[in-house]
Amino acid sequence: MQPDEILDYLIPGIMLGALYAVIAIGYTLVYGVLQLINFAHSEVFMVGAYSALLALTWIDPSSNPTTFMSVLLVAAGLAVSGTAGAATAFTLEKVAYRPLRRRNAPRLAFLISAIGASYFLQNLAGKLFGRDSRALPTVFENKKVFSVFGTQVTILQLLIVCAAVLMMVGLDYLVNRTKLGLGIRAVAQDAETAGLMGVDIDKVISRTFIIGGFMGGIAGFLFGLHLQLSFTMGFLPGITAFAAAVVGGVGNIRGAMMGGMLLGIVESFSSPIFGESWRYVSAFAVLVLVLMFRPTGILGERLGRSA
Amino acid sequence: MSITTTKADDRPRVDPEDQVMRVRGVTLRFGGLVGLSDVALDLHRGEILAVIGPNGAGKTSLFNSLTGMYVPQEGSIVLRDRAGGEHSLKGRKPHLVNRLGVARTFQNIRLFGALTALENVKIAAETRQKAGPVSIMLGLPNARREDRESDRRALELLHFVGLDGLLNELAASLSYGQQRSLEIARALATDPQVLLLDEPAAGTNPTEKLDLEVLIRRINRELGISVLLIEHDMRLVMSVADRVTVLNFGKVIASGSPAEVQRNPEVVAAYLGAEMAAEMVAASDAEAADGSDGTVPAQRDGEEQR
Amino acid sequence: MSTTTKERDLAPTGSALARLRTKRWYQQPMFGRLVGTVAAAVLLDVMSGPQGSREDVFFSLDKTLGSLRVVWWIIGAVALWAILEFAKPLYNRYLAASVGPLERFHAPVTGPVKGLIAQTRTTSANLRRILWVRIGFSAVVIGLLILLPNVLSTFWNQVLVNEVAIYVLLAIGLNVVIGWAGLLDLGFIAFFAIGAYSTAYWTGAMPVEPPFTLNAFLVIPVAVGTCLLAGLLLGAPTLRLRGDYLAIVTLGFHEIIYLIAKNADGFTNGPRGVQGISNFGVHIGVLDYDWELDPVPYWYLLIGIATILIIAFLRLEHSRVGRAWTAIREDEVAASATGVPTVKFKLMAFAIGASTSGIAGVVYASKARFISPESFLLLFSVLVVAYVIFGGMGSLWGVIIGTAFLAWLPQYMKDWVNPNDRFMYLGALLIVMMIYRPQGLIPSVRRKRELSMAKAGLGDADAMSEPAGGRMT
Repeated sequence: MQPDEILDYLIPGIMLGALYAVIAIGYTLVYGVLQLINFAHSEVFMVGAYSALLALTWIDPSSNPTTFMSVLLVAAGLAVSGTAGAATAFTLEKVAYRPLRRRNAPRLAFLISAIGASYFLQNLAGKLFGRDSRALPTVFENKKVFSVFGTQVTILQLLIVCAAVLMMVGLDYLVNRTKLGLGIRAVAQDAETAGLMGVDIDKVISRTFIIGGFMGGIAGFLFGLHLQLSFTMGFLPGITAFAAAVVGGVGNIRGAMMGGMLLGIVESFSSPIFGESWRYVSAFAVLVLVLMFRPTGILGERLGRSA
Repeated sequence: MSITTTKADDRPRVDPEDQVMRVRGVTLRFGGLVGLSDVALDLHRGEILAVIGPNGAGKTSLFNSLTGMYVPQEGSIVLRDRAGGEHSLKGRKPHLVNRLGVARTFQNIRLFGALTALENVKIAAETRQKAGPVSIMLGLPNARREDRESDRRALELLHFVGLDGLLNELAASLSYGQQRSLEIARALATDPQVLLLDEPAAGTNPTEKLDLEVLIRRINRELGISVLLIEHDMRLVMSVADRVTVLNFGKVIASGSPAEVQRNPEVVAAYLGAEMAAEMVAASDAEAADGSDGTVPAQRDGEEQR
Repeated sequence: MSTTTKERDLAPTGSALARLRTKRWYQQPMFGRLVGTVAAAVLLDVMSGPQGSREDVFFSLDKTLGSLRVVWWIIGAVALWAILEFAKPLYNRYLAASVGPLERFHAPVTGPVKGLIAQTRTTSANLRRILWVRIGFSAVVIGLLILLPNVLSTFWNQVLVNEVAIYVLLAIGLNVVIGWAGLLDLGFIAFFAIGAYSTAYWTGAMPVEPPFTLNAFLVIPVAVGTCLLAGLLLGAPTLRLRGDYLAIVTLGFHEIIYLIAKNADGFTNGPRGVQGISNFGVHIGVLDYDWELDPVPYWYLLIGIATILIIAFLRLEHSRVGRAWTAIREDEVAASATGVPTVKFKLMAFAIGASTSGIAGVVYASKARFISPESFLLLFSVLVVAYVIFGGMGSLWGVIIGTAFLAWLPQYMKDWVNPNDRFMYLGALLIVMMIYRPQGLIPSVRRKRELSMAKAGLGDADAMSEPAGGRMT
């Protein structure tokens, strides 16, 4: 790899990292309040992408939309995917996790239920929309916007990074400055005490899923603008994003953002260094290394402390 | 592995030079909160030392630090075995601390409820056995022999604590007092030099309390095990303990014989608040002058009224 | 540990608070149930619809939600709901009439406690008496299993070996990890792959020549050793942390093994797979026999291997190792304070599971004579997990019967149900099992007790919690 090629990999890496960061937040939030690896979060991501596909196909854009139309389509895609993601996550919590919580089921049961939900959603989508991969309709022409030291930055990259940063800033505000955020932090730190203090734990958990699902759904749509959609599309980004959450310190929101960025960039650089077919291994390599040397992640664990 | 009975009543039981556990300068912080600050403690071999103090004084934190569940930021915890070898316990994993000879019970009894009483004790008796999974799967003679050994040891201990008839009852179905005894039997099955009892009398009725008193003495005298006891029931502490150490706000505020500690104004203050302390000390001094004994100024009820 | 206990206490608090709030008529639970029933009906309608098409994204949705079908489903759901809601009061009245006042008073109070006490009180003398009954019973079962291929067609004999027996072997191994040690291993098939590729390598079928070739039987110990090592290397760093990290790390491990099988062309022959792996054969003196195309001899071989493993694992379950696993599952802090080296025992379970998977891999490779990366998809790992849970984790017999049933079912149903939908139904099955019957089809006695105790707020039933006491450093 030549030194002047670094940016060619760094910029896509940042884009990928922004996506991973947004998905990782979904894992970290749920881990914070429930101490559960929400395996089905990757399917929330997939549902976001497919709902945008349905919406955009239904609107049926011309193959060469005007600028105004493009903006509208992107806005529609964001709205639909976010809503669908949030709805999926909400239902998921209600159907697959809440009954177990009522019964004080062991954590193993939660994990198994999560995996069941993941496979159910994945294969339901495969059945409904076909098992071949497809692309979203053309929403805008992916022009180059500007160049940094000779490396072109595209609209898509800009859009993804901007959307991700906006969501992360919004979430940071929500968690640190609002009443709901206070509730989330309280439940994450000590659910029992939070309950005694009058926090409605069920509501907080349910809303945490909605927030995570909203962000995951949008990430799915953004991902779909970049790559093809398939019913198994959630798996690799999902597992990488979970690795990112652990790398940053599970339960720590800023850690998840950082871990996501890190893994995105590492993945982007690993393909010229180790070869394209090995790029997906990089996330696990980083994960195992971090677990070995700093088991609580880079920024340390716990949602409450990130504030 | 039979229970050896030492007839030690006729000679002095405790040699103050022979410390089985030496705790120095232990400080434990939880984030900004200080759980223990500069705690020093000596446990002589063969004695019963009680640790008392109001709720939240750091008694259980101390136990958790001694057994490897918490790692204090500062200080040293040293265990001296019978041969005089010294082992640092600080930062050691709980099961390794146990293997060195420190066993404990928990304040909120933690038995394996879905297993029988016998199985609970067997698990503890088996932790030092050698037979690996391969010899067990092949059913080799050494595995069988060890299984019989742990059976015998567990039966012996269940008999020792008086649970003979309840071998095959599920631990969860035993009464509260029986569960306490079972937890003690489980701790004894690991062959400890030091036994840490965390509020063994909590929630027991007066008869059970008397049985417990006898049991603690027998563990100490017959099995020769040094006992560190956290207890709120002052009657039990005063009658069973050789020495008492008082913790308040994570600090040791007094140490000495039960009678000395009882008259220490700081101790009384810790329990009852400063105003009442002066009165209480005056009263107990007067009684001590009378030669009477057994008044209990610092009882749990007093503390709960605060 | 402390976090799980807290989680446990909070659930009732939350729901109790929720119950205190006043409810409007449409917030009555019966309407909640109506919404649930209708939603389930719509879901079933979509699930049972036609396969989606490549050209039209809306095709399947149109045929299910956009047609009259869904109306019928909803009508059916509402009818079912109405029957259940309005028949229930009648049924309750009937019950109230048939149960005497005294019993009614006692039943709810002593029910769970009595159940706990009554469950299994076996003394060792009793065990010995039962032992002979068991040996006799097992002999009869094994005899029937040996005769089974004679009454089946060749197709079903193939299914018996390729699907049922191999998966039963895998499930027996995974049961040690999930059922006994309470850990979730999502990369179980990775060890299966290691076993299979070991066979290919040591019998000289891979592009890389081994230093010497081995008989397929002799590969078994080698594969066990390899998988044991891989399991230890993977488990040691992970299990020192939280138990639930193991799930994600094994998932990643599976992906890595799969990618190696697919991409390390020079070693594994890549996506083309490895051909010509030699079959099992015995050539010692007068014993001279080769396993070839006929599935039946493999069936006998697998019965033999499974029997040995079952005996070994049953011994393990009732030994100090099995008791230590139970202790760790129930209360990791207490176990470690009692001197049980928790990490060591978890690692032991993980490695034993891994090597069993390796054995299954050897048998599979040697029977199929051909392996490719596509034989080791992650889906299969999840499949085995589902089988174990369906059967009843921790209960060896439950796991065997459950696995045999679920491995047989898709073959039996393949003319009516699209095989691609299998994982959709399995996913749904996992959720439904966790909600309504977490102990599985034929539950293990210990597991059942643990779950009912966890429900009452006592103890734990997995080994997922943080290291003892949540070390505060």
